[in-house]
Amino acid sequence: MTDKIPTPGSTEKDKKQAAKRRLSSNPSAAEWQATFDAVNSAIFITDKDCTIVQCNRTTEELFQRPAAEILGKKCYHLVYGADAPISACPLDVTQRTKHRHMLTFKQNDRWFELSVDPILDHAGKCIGSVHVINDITERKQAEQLVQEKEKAYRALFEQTNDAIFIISLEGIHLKVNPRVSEFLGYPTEEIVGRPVVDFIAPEERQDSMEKRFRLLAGEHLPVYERVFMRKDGTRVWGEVNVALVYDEQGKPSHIHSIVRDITERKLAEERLRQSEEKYRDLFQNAPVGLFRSRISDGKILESNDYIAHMFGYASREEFIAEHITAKHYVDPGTRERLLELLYQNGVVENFEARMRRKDGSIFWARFYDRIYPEQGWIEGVVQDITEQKEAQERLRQSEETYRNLFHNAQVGLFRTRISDGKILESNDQLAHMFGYSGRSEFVNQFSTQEHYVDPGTRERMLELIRRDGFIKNFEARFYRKDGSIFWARYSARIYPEQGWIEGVVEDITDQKRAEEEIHRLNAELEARIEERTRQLKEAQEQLVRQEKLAVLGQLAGGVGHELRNPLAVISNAVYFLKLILPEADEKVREYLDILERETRNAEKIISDLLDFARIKSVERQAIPVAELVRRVLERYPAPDNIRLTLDLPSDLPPLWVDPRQIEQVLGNLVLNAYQAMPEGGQLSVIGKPLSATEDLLITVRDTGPGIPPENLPKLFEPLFTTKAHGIGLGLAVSKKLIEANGGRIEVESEPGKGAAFNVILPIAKERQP
Amino acid sequence: MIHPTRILIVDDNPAMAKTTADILATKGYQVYVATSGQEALNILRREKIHILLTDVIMPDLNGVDLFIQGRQYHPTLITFLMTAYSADDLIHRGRQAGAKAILSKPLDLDLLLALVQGVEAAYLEHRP
Repeated sequence: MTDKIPTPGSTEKDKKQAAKRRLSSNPSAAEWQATFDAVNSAIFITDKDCTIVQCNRTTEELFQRPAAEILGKKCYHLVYGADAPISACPLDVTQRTKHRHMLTFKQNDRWFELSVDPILDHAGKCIGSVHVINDITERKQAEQLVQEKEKAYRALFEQTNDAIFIISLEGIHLKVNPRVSEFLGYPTEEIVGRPVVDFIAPEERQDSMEKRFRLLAGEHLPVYERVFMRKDGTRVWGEVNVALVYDEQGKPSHIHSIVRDITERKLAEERLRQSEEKYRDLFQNAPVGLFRSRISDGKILESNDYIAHMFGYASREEFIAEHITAKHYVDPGTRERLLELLYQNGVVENFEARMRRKDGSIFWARFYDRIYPEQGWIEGVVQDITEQKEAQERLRQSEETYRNLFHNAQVGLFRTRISDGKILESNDQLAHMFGYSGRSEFVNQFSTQEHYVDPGTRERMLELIRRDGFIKNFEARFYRKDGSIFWARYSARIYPEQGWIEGVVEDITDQKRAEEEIHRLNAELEARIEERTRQLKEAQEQLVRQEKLAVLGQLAGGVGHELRNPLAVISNAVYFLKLILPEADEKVREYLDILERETRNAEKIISDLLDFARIKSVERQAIPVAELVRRVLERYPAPDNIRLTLDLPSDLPPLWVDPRQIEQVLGNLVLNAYQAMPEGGQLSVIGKPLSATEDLLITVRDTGPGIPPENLPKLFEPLFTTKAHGIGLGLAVSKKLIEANGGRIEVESEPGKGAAFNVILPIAKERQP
Repeated sequence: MIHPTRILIVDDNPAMAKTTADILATKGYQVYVATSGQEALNILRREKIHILLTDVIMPDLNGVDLFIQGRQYHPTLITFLMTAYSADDLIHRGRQAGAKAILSKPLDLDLLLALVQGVEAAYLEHRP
């Protein structure tokens, strides 16, 4: 290949060869000398000992000395200035080889070419030499230039960062630089000799061929991009600069293709594209509103759909077309404030404002804005925080509610440390409960542990709460700050991880007191009920007795009256017999007396019955006690074994009573007294004025066995009797009669010491006749 | 001694009428006996009776009405009512009508005899 590359020295060489041929055509001495001198090269001849024997004019010029000074000199002395042949002396070699030998050397900044030809005798023995010296400095310089250029080109070819392909017109790689191997990932030998299209991405092969044809057709192709396939299958991008190279005849010779690896750039571009796409997607699809708006009025310049929807528009196009943010702030002055902040700080974060949607509804927005004053716009992010705001508001309200609840609760609320019951949190109510003025002097200072009144209570509570996780209505007594005691009822829940207990406390001291009071009252009530029941029972019994009595009364009314008739007959008969038998014997008279007395007793029983059944109207009059007592004793004379004592002073005021009724009363008392003393005794009737009430007290006292205490309350009840015979109406009737006459009756008795009936009756005063 | 006073004793219980009559007769009074109101009226119509001693409650004619009707025959008839009952209304009417005494049964015969004697004395005094 290189021999095809034209070199600058080739033409001169040909010319020299032609001159040589001309010289050897006519060998006359003069011509020789003339020719010899005309030659532009320095020529001199030496003998076999290297002594110069002949030289031409050019030699003189070259060495700048006359021939006389040159001839006879040793050649090495002339040429090199040396005293002995130099080591590389071509003459030596020539003498041995008997062929021309050449040497290039530099002398005084100039380059020379020395050729030494042997002069042989007939025997072929070397008898001298011809030295020809040419100044080749210019040629040398030209050659050097070419070499340097070539070297530079080679270096360029070898070291350039671009891949360089030398391609045949048919599209086969002729030569490539090492960079190509790196670029395509193939060893050079696998590239050279193979068609270009083998290394081009399939989709671009057609284009590659077309481009080659266009190039061959003489078209100048601008730089274009090409995708190459590497050996490992990956793709690389090249920026291709292609040119057609012509030979000396001007015919297309081959193609130069310089390819710059732009893969990195392409990938970066791709990444950028993807990135842009990604960001565009992000921008469009971000679940926040993104916008760019005009500073002057907030006109939307760019936005995503999200913000458009946020403001109630169907799409960003509609939003951008219509929306002027400045008109959509709910609260006047908001935008001005936002702009002020933006101008101040460049950015504004978490700016919250109420915005109006297209349809007029309102939402809360939060802005993150950045201002670009030079561009005249604001860029920002908007979030609809209405729900958040509402949630916050609800939370705030809820917190407030619970805080209020907590602090205003009429019960104590607490959080205590499990270990020692230290109050970690409480409301005032609890503090007050424990006698503190407020939670500030209570929380974190007070420990319940030290304030249980009853030892072991807290331990018991902890056991329960650890077992169940909670306790309900636990009751305990606590000391207040001032040492007083109160009853608390609390319910609580344990939080073992947090190490605390939370709960609610009620002061149930009043309740406890009330409970105790209720217990006491209950007991009292029970006692009362018992008493009342007893009374009722008694009343009932009395009622029963009275009912019995009512029936009895009716019965007695009927029977009594009916009995009176036969009694009247008996009474008449006795009277008649006593009348007609005045002289009857004693026994008959005794029996008649018995009949008479018993008839009177029977009549008495009937009278009592009838009187009890129906008290007759009271017909009062003034009457002395003594008179009544006299009548009674006349009617019921005292038996012989009973002594009678009357203490009825004559100055006693008269009674104001129904005489018959009081006579009946006194008769009853006297008869009872007689019957209480069957073995005899003393009956006293004593009259005595009561100064305090202006009443008169009449006492009827006997010396009988007395009345047992249990019988005293029942004494005046009807049908109560201790007698073997008698229906128990006497004292009941007496009581009724006394009360009907405005008096009362009492009894005193000590067993074994007799009984005394005290009858208190009104006296006749101005009514006295 | 024989008393001039004629006494009519009326009681639906014959034994009561008889015993009372016997006592008064024994004491010398002229007694008439009736065991019903109507019977007593018949006697009153026929005989000159000074004192009417009558039971109050009787089946056919009560003592008070007997007294009021009997007075038609004897305007000066003295009447004592006898009762075993506390029939207050009737007693009260008898008292209004002019009964001289209300005697409860069994009779206080001493009191009865005293009353009869008192009536006779007054009667004899005023007799023309």
